[in-house]
Amino acid sequence: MTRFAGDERDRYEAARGAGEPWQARSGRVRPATHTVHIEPVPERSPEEILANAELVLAFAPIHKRAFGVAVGTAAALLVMGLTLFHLLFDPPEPNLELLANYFYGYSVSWRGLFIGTAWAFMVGFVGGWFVAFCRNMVIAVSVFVTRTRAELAQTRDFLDHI
Amino acid sequence: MTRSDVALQRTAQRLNARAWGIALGMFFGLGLLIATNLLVLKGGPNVGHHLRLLRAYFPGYSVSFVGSLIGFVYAFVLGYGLGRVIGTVYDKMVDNT
Repeated sequence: MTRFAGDERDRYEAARGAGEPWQARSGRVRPATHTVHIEPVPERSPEEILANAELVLAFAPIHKRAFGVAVGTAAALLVMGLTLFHLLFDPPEPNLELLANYFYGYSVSWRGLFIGTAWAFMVGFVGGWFVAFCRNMVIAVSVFVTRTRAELAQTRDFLDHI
Repeated sequence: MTRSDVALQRTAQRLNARAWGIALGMFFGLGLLIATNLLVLKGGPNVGHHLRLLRAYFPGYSVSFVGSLIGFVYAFVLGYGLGRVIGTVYDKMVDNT
């Protein structure tokens, strides 16, 4: 049986969870062999909990599909607004028809309005999705590097114990 | 994943639409302001031949210092609107998934 000093038994239970940790599975009680000194379980202060929540907030990944749809919607609204402006007021310049070089089928017309809007949404979606992907990857790599450095720093004095 | 974890994840994923609006507005506004003033400082016989086409959409804008300030306001408003759209649509999408 494991012998505990002072209130270490409570801490041991707390660390291991519910149950009877000092009892063998067969039900037989083992004889005392040694005394275990257990590090107390550190309690998290409210500041630590808050800092953890802020870290989660800072490193939360962007939802790629949602960001793509959002950027696509903004781009579609922009092209729709520009085309509508040209249709209603017909300014002499700039020549918005040049967009047809990139948006196949686009023209300053009511039909072109829908084609241009669809193209802009698609281009915006791809661009937004890719930006979110790159951002998430950079964050993930930087978190990985930081964590690895911290783990290496923790085991730096490993050879000193041999 | 517990319900509170899902709630925390959703909260963490949300964007601040107003902040996005201001950020994109400043980006557009300062971009046009700097681009215009760079051309003004550069000088030449035909200053800002292409950039002056923006006056079709931004009445009052011209490739000059005063015009750059007017253009800043227009571009900021445009960028704010686009940023607001991005933030709002993104939040709606995240809430629905």
